[in-house]
Amino acid sequence: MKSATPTSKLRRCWRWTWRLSLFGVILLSALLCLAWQERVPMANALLRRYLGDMQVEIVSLDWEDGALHVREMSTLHLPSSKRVSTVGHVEWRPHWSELHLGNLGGLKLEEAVVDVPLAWLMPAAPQPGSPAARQPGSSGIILSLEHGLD
Amino acid sequence: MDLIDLLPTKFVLRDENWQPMCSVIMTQKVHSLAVGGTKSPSFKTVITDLQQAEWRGQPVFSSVHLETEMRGDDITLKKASLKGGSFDLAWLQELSPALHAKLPPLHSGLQFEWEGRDVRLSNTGLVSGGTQEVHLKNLHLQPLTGAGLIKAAALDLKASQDLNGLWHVESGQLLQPVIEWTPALETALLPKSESKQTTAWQARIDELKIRDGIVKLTPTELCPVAGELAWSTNLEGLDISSEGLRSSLSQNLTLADVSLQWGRMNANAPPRPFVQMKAAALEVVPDKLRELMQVDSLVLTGPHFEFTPENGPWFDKIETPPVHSALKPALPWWKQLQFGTLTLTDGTLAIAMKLAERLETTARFTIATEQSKQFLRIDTAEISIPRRSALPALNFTDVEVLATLPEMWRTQRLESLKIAEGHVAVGDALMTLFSGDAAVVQSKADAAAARWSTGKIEVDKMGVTLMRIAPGLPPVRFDVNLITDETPLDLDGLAENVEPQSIKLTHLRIPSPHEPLRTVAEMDVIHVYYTLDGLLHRRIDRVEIVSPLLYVGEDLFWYVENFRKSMKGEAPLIDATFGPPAPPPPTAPGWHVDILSVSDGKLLLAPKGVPLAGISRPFPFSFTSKLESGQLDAQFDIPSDNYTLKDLKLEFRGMKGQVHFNLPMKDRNNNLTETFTVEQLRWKQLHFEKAHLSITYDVHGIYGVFGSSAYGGYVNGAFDIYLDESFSWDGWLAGAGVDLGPVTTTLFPEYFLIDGKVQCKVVATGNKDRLFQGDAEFQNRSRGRFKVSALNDMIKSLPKSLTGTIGDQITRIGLETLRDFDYESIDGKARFYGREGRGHLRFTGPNGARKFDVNVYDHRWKEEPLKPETADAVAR
Repeated sequence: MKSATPTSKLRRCWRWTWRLSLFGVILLSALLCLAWQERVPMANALLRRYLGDMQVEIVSLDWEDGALHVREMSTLHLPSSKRVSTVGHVEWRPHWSELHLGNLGGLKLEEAVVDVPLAWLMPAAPQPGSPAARQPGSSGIILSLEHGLD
Repeated sequence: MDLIDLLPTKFVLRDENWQPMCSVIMTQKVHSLAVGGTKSPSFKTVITDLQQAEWRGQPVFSSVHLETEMRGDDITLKKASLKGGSFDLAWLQELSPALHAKLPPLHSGLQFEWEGRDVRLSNTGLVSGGTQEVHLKNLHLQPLTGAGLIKAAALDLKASQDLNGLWHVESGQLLQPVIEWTPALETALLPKSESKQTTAWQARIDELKIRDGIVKLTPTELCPVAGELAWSTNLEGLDISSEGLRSSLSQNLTLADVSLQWGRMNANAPPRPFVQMKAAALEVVPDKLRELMQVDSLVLTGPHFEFTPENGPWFDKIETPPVHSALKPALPWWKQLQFGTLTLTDGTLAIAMKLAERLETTARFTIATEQSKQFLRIDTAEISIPRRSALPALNFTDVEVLATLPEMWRTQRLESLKIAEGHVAVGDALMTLFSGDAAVVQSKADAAAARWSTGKIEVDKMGVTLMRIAPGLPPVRFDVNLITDETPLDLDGLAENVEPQSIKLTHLRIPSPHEPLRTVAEMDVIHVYYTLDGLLHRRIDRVEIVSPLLYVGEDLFWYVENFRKSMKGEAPLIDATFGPPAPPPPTAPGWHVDILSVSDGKLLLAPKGVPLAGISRPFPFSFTSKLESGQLDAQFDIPSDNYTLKDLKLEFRGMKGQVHFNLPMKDRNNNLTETFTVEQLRWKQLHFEKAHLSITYDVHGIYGVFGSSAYGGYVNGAFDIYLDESFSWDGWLAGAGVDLGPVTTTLFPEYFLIDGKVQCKVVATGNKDRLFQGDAEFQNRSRGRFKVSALNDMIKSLPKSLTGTIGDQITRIGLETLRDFDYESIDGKARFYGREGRGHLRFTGPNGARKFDVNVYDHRWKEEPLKPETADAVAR
């Protein structure tokens, strides 16, 4: 009988663990189902939360044929209230087997429009004392290229 | 990421006002993009297509295709192309104001297409430029303000970068480049700033053709030349770097329709071009040009060079380097050039420069190269002084000069000079050319010429015409033949090689400048002895004039007066016949004639160009003198002889004299003076012993002074005969101690006789037809007798003395008393106007006085004076 007591405790422990896990899975599934149901508002909320002055909104977010499809994505520049880009369709097809290696797979953009002021592409005016300020001969384009190549 | 597939995406860039600046539609596929890590970012290939790019609504390009591959750290642009591109430099102002600010203030634009391959980039920058093909069209570049333009219809370039990093223009073609160079364009492209540090760079042109180029120049600060030319060039294997051009291959440049003007002249009246040329072709190997200063070929077709004071400051500053200089100055670059072939066809040259007079030179010439030697052939050349003479002072035909460039400049030596035919008119025009300030130019020219020498000079037929070797001599022409070796090219050096020569001129006649049909002088024979050296120094050794006939009259004096005024710089006499006023007088010294010999000369008095009536026989003369600087001072003798003027009943017995002749006249009265002495001068039966007569001629008349012994006394006088239409004259005569007895016996034997010595004076004026006025006085304070011879016949008709009637006796006594009167003094005066006059004669003696009043009237028929025909006269 001595052997039955530890066994039952352990079994109870596993039983509760199983129940809790099951409950958690069910709960998670429920939450995921709920999140999936509300995936577009949630995505928009997240984008709004983390992109600062840029308000990115999507109209649909779907998973089809092993790829994530985002449709009607638009970006609004809040300070100027200008829509700076729209993308009709973004398709992300992850390469699952290499995802752990950092390979995100393929990305496809359709019907995109980027509409931004030129000043955004120009280098910021060098601050006094910065190396760029001390090199009047250097240009913004060259700096961009160097940064890009680095 | 395995793939980023960017389907057509439109990019729009906006300005600060949110107005669209540029837009483009981009399609891109990126394979194997990796971001993060040491090699971030990296990709395998990127294929990009850009379409419909616009800037401010204007198309920038229609399409761009880029295929990029990345291996390791290198990015390779395997293939790229751009089509339908256009560019406006103004876009850069918004795209990159900083970069735009560094560029010249210009408008610029072009249309272009581009294809590139194998461009490799790495972290260090451009590794290989690959192969690039650029097709540009309608390039233009012009300043923001003002005129000026650089444009081209098309530029096609295929360039690549080799393994050494050197860029090659493998092939290229530039069509219809037009450069309109103006001050505004020069200021924009070449600003007046401190010299910037030049960055070393290098490129190589394997083949580049430039076709149908045009350059139009407007005077600028750097380029004072205006004009236009067309040009084309073929460049091959040419290395271009910041240090210059290098190539071992031949480069070609052709010019056409060249017309260049000096730009800094009066803008209101554009000057004539100083260079005009149909075509020029230059072929040069840059390495040879740089190292050996060699030009393979230069062919000039139909060039016309024109250098005049009106079209440029060509001769404002003429400098000659010092003759003796220890260090020879370096030759200018164009004097160091040597030519494989130098050809010039149908060349013409026109030069005008202001010396003492305007000197104009024209020449037609060609240049050819044979056996590395240059032949200059001058078909015709003329040098003229237009204000002096319409005919050229110097002309040549068929002149050949052989020289080798550039040794000719270095050694200052021509190998040969050959003049087939030429002519020099050595007159005032040429001789006075270098007078005054221009003499400095002559001395410099002489100094420059002294350095030059010629291996061989051959002058076949060089005519020289001496226009005025002496006053009165017509132009003298002779030929100079010359063959010399190793001769200095200056005139003195040439002259030393010519033997003394002489010419003979016959039957020369100097026409009257007043009336060409009349003659000033005739010369049967003139011998001229000279050397070329003497001619160059305006000197003639000897001039012999044989049997000249000199017409002494107003034509001669007109001629002499013109000469005198010319030498003194006064305005010449106006030609009474025709012709414009002569040019300003020469100031150069005249000719020197060491010996001027006149033999068997004749001097003929011809006041109006024809021998004076009664003195048709000329006076002989001979003399030997010299002529210095156009001045003649001659004195010659007239041998003793008898001369008779039958019309005047004058006879000169044993007359001899001297003639003093000087040119130009020293003063008004002594240009030609004859001094005669006459053993006996007879007029009718009157005779004067030891007479002397001095006659001076000038353009206005003949002036004489005379004197002689006469009948125990002395007579002198003077006369002026003016060379007007009526030969008006005046004169006076005075006698002292003249015994009137022989005179009255000779002159009035049948009328009266006055004995005794008197003093008399006669002053008269008139012309050849009449006496205007005459006044005569004579006085005698000594004793004498007045005898009226006309009464002798009457007395003889009476009965002899103490016979006949008382009446006869009284009559005889009365008549004898009236006939003979011993007087102690005579006082006589008379005045005549024409043929009428009055006078008195008073004798005073111990037995009383006799007084004769004489009135002379001319009762011959005279024409009534013309009646006035004016209205008032008619009314009266």
